[in-house]
Amino acid sequence: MTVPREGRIIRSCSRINKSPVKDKIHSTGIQADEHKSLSLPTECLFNIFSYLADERQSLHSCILVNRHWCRAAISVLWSRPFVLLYLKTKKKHKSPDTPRRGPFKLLSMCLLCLGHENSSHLLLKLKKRKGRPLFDYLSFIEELHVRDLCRAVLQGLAYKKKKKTVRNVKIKLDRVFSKFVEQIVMRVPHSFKEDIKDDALGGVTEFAGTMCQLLLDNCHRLKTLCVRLDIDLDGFADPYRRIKAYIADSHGLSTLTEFEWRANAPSAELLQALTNATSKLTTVRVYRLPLTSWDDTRVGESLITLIRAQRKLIHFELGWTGRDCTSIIEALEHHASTLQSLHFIGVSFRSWKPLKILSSTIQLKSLKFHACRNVTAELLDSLAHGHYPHLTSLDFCDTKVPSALVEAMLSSCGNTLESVNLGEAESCSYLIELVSVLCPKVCHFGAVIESEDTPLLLKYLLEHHHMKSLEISGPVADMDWLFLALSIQEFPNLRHLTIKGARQQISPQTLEIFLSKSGPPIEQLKLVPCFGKGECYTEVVLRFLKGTLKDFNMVVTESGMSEDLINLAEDTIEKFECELMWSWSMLSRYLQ
Amino acid sequence: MSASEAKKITLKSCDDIEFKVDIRVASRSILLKNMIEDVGETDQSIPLPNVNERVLKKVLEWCEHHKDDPQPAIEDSDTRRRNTEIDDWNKKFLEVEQDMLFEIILAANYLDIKQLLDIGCKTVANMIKGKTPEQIRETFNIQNDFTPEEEEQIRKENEWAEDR
Repeated sequence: MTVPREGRIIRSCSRINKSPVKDKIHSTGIQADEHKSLSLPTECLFNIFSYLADERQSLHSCILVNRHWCRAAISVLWSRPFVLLYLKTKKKHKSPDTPRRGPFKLLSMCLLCLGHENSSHLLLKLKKRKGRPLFDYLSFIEELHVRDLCRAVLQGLAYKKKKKTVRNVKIKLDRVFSKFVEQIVMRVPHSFKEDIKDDALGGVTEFAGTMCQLLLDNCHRLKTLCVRLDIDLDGFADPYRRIKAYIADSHGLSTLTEFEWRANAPSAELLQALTNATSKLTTVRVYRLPLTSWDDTRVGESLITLIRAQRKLIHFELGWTGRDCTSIIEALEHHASTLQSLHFIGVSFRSWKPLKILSSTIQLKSLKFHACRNVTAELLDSLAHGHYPHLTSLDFCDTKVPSALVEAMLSSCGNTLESVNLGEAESCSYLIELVSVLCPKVCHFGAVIESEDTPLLLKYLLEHHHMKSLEISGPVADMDWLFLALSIQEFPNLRHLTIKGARQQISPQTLEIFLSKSGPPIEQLKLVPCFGKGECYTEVVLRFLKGTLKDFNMVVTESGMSEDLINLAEDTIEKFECELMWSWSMLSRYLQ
Repeated sequence: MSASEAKKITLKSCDDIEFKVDIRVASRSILLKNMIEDVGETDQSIPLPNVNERVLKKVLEWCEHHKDDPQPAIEDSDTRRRNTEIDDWNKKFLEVEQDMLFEIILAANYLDIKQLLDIGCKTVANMIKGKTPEQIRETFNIQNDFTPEEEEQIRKENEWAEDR
């Protein structure tokens, strides 16, 4: 079989008659069969599989159905393999981060695709394999998260070591690698550098760094690059430090449209290299900008240059910084006419200048201030002067915004809004009334409520029972009362429900009544906190939401849920997380 | 010709059945919308050689129900990835025989009706979720045309994605 070396895209075209799908498989080594029982063209199959992009196991099944399905599904499966590798699946592992076959196998395939001349020295560290792959899998990769890649290298090498152990009992599992996996991936906080031999550390980081470089050079359809330095280990930061050089040298980044950067350590050079590599970014997400050494490292200036160098920025997100980033936001004015979303997450706006850009972002669809502080009327003054005919989402989750501002936004954009979170705004009752009157399309609603707001919220929800998602926070609100009262109404579309911060949390009995009488097809449920071990909640949820629930997250105040129940929940629910409220400070945060 | 009649066009299915349709309804199809804009109003019927009467009737039922919906915005890949929900009306609308479901998808693709195409594809995607290759073949009556060697090689090269 011949190995395809050119990238092959099986993309949808809009009309069958105008663009008949040609079998492109001839160049791949698999010949198309005349007979197709399922007469959907490749473009339709590709569309179908794009809805399974998070379903690794289902995609894996699809590639094994027949040739026709294989051709369409393989590009979706390989569009972000390192991300898929770490998506939680129903199948349990003894520990989520024990050495696994998956990373080892994925790295082996990547190296085989890279060709002998590029990767022979790395292949030696894994496993020699003969033959060439059926597809040029690297040509499908669209998304690369450096952190996932490094994690895969760690686990892949750890797996290799373990295999040796199995084969030869005389060789014990290398303590260094097990430490690596345990402490880096599991993020055990204490330092262990003294435990690690220099050669082992160098081997892993060199491997990860070289893999990163080779992938950046050879993934010619890369659209998303995520660089996160949130691993607390100096030695392993090497691939991150060197990534600026890889980006500078790479020829494959001109297709990049999305860049996410989470950096504890500043790297102006990385941003400069990226500025030179691409001007097609449409999405930039920047998190954890450093509080110190700002001027020394020129990070701010480099980020501004990167933003200005792009032709058309559509989404910008800034997260988790206490730094005054006014100048960065000012640089965004270059893109004011194209920006569709502007998100701030965990940002403290102390000493920021007013966000003037908001007066000219006419295409804005989504404005988010999530868990932000110091959001003043002065900061958002320009909101009053803006015109937002396309705004569908206004989210002030866990953020205190002056009520007058929220009122002004509801009055001017109410008609288009589909998602509203009032956050911690005062006069919540009044604002709920406004939403009820001015925002007929709202189907995602959230607010922090006080006791006196509960009756109005109840009235609003009873009148708007087609709500799709609901997020209620309320330190002093009586959730039990609210949900008992709501159980007289059916909620046929309610798929996401979050109740948090309630001192009088919904009781398991009330939850049972609400779920049985209102019949919401909840897919995502979050309860914070749940008093006790959480067993009663889990039992109720398993009984009433078995067919729909995919994600259940609760924070309990006591440990000790039975193993059997945990196993049952993990087998039934795709993502089940039961976190112990671990400290009084955490408890007081929810209950204050 | 009255004003209300002037706003109608005639569509002809591949089995020669004519449907008189409100232009607003027909314009849910980008193919027809562009055609109407290019040609202007016409008394002549528009032939649709890829759609039979049974399917066209069903597609027009969908278009009639959604005639006042805004045209869909272009979604980014992330939005598509996460949004697999189908509202009740559409779910019920697509509770049809499998052949019909595929024919609706093909017609929506041909007529360029993005929303109908998407809910059709989501419906099929939901039918695939969690199934083994053999179960998928059974569900959709698909013949396995891999040679044993090919199947083995595909399996081996994608072992990383196996859930174990």
